[in-house]
Amino acid sequence: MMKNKIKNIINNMPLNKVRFWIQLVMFILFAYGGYVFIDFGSSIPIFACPYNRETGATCYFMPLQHQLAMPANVLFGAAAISVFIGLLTFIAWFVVLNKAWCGYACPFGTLQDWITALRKKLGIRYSTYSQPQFDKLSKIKYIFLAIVIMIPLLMGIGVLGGEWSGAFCQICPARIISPMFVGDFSQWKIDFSSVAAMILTTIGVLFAAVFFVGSFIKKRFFCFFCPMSALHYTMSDLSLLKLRKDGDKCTKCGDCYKVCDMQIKDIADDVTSTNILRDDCMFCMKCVAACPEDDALHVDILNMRVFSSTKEGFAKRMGMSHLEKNNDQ
Amino acid sequence: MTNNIKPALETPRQKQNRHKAMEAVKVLNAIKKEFKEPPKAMNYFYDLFEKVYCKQEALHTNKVKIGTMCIQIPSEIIYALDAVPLRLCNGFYTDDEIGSDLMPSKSCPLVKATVGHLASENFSDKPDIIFSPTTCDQKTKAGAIVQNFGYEVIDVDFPRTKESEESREYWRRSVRKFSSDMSKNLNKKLTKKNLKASIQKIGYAQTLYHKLNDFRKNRLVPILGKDMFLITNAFFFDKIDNWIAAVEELIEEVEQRAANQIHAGGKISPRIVYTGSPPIFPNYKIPLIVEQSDAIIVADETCSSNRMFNDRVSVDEWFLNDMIDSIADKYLKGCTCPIFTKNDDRIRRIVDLVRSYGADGVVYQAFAGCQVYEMEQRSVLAAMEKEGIAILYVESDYSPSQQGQLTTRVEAFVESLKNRRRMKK
Amino acid sequence: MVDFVKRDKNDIFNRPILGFVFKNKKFLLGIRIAVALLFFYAVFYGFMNPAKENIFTGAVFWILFWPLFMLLTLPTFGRIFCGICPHGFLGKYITALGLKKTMPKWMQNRYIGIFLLIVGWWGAYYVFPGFLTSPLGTAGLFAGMTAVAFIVYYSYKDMSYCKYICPIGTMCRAYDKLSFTKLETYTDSCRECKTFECASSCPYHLKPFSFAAKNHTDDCTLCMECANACEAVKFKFTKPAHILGQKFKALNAEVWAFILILAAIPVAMTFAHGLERSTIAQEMIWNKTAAFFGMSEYGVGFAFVYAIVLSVFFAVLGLWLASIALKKDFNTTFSTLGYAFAPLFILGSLGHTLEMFFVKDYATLVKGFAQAFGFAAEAMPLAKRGDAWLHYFGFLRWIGVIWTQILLYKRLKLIDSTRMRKILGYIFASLLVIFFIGINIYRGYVFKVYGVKAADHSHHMGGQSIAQRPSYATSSSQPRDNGGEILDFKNSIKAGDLIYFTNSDPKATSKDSRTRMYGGNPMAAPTQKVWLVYGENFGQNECVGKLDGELLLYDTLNKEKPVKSALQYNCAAYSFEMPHNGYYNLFFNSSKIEENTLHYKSAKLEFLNGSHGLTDVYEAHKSQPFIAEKNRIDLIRLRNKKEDSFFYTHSSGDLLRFKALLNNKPLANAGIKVFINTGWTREFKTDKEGIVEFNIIKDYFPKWSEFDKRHKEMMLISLSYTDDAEGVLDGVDYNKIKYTLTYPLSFYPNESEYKSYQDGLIIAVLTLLLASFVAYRFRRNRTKPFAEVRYDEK
Repeated sequence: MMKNKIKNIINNMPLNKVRFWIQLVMFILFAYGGYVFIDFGSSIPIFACPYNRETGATCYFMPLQHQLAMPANVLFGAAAISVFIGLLTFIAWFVVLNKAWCGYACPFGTLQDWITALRKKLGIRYSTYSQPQFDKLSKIKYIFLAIVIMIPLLMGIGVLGGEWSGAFCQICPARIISPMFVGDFSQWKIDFSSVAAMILTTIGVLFAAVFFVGSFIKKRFFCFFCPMSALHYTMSDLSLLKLRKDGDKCTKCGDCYKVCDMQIKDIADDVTSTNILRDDCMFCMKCVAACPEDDALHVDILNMRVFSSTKEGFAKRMGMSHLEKNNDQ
Repeated sequence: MTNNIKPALETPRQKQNRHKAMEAVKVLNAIKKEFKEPPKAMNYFYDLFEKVYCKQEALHTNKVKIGTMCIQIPSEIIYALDAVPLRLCNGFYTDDEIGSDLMPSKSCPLVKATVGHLASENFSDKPDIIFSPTTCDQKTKAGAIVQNFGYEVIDVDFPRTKESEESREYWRRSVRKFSSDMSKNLNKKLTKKNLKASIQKIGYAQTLYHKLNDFRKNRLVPILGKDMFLITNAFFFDKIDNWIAAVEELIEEVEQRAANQIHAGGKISPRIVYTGSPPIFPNYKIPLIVEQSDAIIVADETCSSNRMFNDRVSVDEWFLNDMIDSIADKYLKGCTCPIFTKNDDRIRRIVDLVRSYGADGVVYQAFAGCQVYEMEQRSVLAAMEKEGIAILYVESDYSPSQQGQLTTRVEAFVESLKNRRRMKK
Repeated sequence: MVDFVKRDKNDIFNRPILGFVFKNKKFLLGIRIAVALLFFYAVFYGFMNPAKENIFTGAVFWILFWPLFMLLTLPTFGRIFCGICPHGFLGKYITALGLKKTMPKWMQNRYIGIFLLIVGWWGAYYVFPGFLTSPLGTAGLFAGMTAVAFIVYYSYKDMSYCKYICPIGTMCRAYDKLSFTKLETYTDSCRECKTFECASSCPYHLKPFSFAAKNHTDDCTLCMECANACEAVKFKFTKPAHILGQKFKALNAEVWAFILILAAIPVAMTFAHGLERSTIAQEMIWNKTAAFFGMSEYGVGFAFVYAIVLSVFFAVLGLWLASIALKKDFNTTFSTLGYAFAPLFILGSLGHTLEMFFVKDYATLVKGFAQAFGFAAEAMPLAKRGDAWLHYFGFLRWIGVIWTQILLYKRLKLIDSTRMRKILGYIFASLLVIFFIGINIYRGYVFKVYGVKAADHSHHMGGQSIAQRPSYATSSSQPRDNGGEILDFKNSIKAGDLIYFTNSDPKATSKDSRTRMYGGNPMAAPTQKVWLVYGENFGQNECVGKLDGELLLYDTLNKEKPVKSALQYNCAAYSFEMPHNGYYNLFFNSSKIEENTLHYKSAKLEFLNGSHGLTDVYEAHKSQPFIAEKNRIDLIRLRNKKEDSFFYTHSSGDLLRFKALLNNKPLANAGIKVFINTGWTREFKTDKEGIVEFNIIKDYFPKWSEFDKRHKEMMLISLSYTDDAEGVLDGVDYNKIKYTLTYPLSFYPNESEYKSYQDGLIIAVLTLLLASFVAYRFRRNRTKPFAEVRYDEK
């Protein structure tokens, strides 16, 4: 009985509100954690940018790029251990929450949600990609992931010079935007120290500017291109937290697809896969909240259902569980 | 006293009305009296049908009435514009016969009855504008026939595939156009507030339906299928607020009934999932036969009932733009109508209904002349066989003449299901 | 005609002195005659004395009339300059005598006046500076204008010249709206009027009785003819820019006047007279453009063009975006919001004018009048350039900016739109203001960072910019040939040679040689390899193969450690292990007697082994300066406070502090010479405490394609001191000891020299705008057609 009650409370929760508060707490933690000496290390699977000096933990891409940039003979020698340990730490963080890091913890994602909230306040609708656009654009994150990994390696074997150090960070909009939250605007600059630095920082500034426009009109604009998302996807099978779908119960009504910030079509149309987590997914669970069928979508930890779609919960969240009394009738 | 010498001559309309009233009364009486006592709250619906179909009383007096030729016209938008949707799908044999003169004789009786009804212009509430979605061939053509009668008919383009992104976009555009057509015709602006309210109101109605349906999952079913059909049928034309109030009351009573362990069926009545062509009042021929043969219809997959209520609209951002898209998705993506090229969704829905409602068998009715249901019969039968679900396929029309033969077949099917139940015990 | 009205309190005609000044017919006539006489005398004087000595003509036109009087009156009392303008004054009589034709339609165009002002005057002024402001040029210009004016007055009716042709007519009409006065009538009294004296007396045929309802005064030049014709005319005080707070029939020409004058005067001035004075003037886009077209001498002309193009671009773009945001058509938005730009120019320029008036124009004006009217006057400027109180005039510019923003807010109220749209519209419409602020800040930034060019008056020729890099000292002198022999140290070096340590291989061909070696084993301590080189000058890296001197190494814990030496290509290389992080001190001492002088030469290397692994903890005690007591002479670098890690590098502009020690005692009055491999040298003397401090020179201006923050510059500091001490060394007497010690150092360019925040922000803002625009257009036009199927028709 008690268990059912708790289950009901969770399944009927107003997910968006709960998520907002979790995100707020996480944002404060990662953007300002440094002020209270919080440091979760440097292998966090989100964009908690180390350029923000007060960050409570550091994005894994920073150490990853530095480690991979070691001279090849060092990298493939004893130093490989340190790379391996970094990766293990990353996985250790990741394995519990899976991509929910993106939907609930990533300060950069949270920022986009806030921009979205602002857009909503202003009464402007969102944009969507068409399916062909989606298919093409969703590959970009793998290109970025390749930049994250390949450029340091090329530096290690001596093809590229030291000016390419942390190349992805140089173009990452988080480098420019995250420090702003601690009042540091110094990343809005072009670095003329070398041609590489100039190109990279220019691209970075361009991306940062596009980020604001993009995330204003498109929900979770950047997540679509985020290499961290791509890296997550390669490891998401290891994770304990799973987004599952019961295809038999799905009526393909498309409600989940409709609310999906990332426009993942499979969530509605794929009735054969159980594991419905796709590479673009950021595990915000909005689809689960928007599914009007009992248990058609559910979130599991170790095969234990922690949050699943219910008719009742859906009605509650959509304002369909009671009749709004209209004054004008 | 003095004028009684000359008997009052019946006009054709009066005659039609009398025939229709007779048909309606007969079915209503059967529903009311030939079964265990129905919930008291059902009286609202019985009275409603009597008022509309026997007494020909108008329900909607000061609102614009929008006739819809099929389920695909979004009633959310109609309500948001302060108009009333009236679904024109018809179940009267009288109208069917009128329609037979206007359409090929082997057409679908539902379409014929609809056309006949519009041809006779014999309404309790006459639609002001008719929107005709291009769903199945017969309805599509019926729209054009009806237009010749002098109605204002506006086509709403509907795609026949639902998987592709193109058809989704196509349908979204149709819905947008529909909403702008409506706005133009009614000279009213669609507002965010109104549309949200109407989505939530219909959503609430759907929620009530789901709640009511949940009781049918119980081992002891508190309400019979014929009553459920009547309730969902009422949604075609009733004032939505009255409907909601009546269903709320009904739910309370049914809840009480469930608590009191009241069972509407017999001890080993088989549980049936009803699918196929929609039973529309007063054509409750098959459902009545099924339930009179001591089976209970616990669930259905028809466009006059489940399909109308099952899928609810979900909206992320309550802007007109997004709401309209969401509404469009509800009417296309969730739809299990056999007009679509292939229909795995319908099979999955039936299987899911059988599982979750603990049904023993499926009754598949197809109207003679409704090609799509007739054609899909094979794939559904094959799929049910694969799943090990008993299924009865019956073909019928609106004429009262086949009653005997149908009763025999259905009774035999029900008996075989009962035998299975007994064996299981 | 109304004989008497009870005048309002705010009626200027009701004021004791102002009432007389503005209304008295005779007084006005007197003023006008005086101004006209002054005008014509100045023109005449200009023709008579075309030489430079004539300061009177310029003073009248370019100080008194414009800008002083005009700028002072326009935003205050309004268009009173027009009221006393000699053209208008005489024009009235000429028109009365003239043909009174209707002006042809094509001439009834206010843009003619604006064009003449912007292109005819300002454009010409920037392209041919000096000529138009010379006495002859000035006299010619105004004589010409007078001729044109009189012809037009004679031909056409209603003073059309003032409205359409006069270069400052439309401008005055536009800026008039900022004033705190307004001419209108007592409407209650007017109601019964049937004679309309005010209208019939108006030389412009305006209807003063309609001004109150219209909320503006058309082309009224405040000639006050109407006020003299009828008592019901009032000239009242209002709130400043009262008109702009309310609706009135807008005139696009006025808005264009605001924008173009802003472009032609403050913006173009900032470019042509402001940034052009900076040391990086040659880097400015207009000079580059001019150079591109081979017209370097017209850089200022291009600056003017850029000023116009940029200002118009930002104004139009801003208002256009605002129109989109507000969902109004562009024309409405332009004419409604554009009026807000009015104070932007006039207050900024007023501040400048007042400043100049006190600094020099007052004196010029007095001298000019003294010159022309032959009286003796000795006028001193009222203020000196740089007086603190003059800076307060600079605030007027910012008041103008703030006023603009307030007006924008007020003008937005006149537009019917939603709150959110208005906020967006406000931001977009402010684009011109942002641009204006931006260039002002940029000018300040350029002056602060790059400095002002030395006052060379040939400023259009660009002058020498500091962007030239001194040539390397090494290239000027040939290296000494050692003929492949192994040289020993004592014999090859001369008394004047510098000896010092370097960590770049003197024989290496590649510039980038890593001297720190990891070896195969990452756990082993890194080894540092250094060479000892000598030469007459810094940068002449001669090496020796044989060492004959004393070599001392102290590790981070100040323990003496051994140094390994090896011979490479006849060069001795010394290497030492660095197991810890911190400073390693390496000394080489040698002494030699030449001409009774003992040359005690010492080379020091303070090497920082800094790394930033997890285990490399910075220990503060290690950064304490270490005094090698064994050494007779030493130069200790006193560390900066901000030097708080072992990951510290020096950068240009840093302050360096050294303490010189002789026999462990502070060495006062010793010579310190600083060399940089770019050729720069500088000499200092140590103070009583033996301390010397200086900044590392900032001279890092290579071509940007060669920019490299890792570009290391070498620096050598040498300490020399001569002591009159006698003694014997190796059996040779000496009566003097000459101590020298070298201390090499490397530094990098300062971050601010290769990081451009402005470029970053500009790119960001432009991208933001462009991306917003693209997104907006895309969404607006979105019909989402299905992708076209393309066939290969081959």
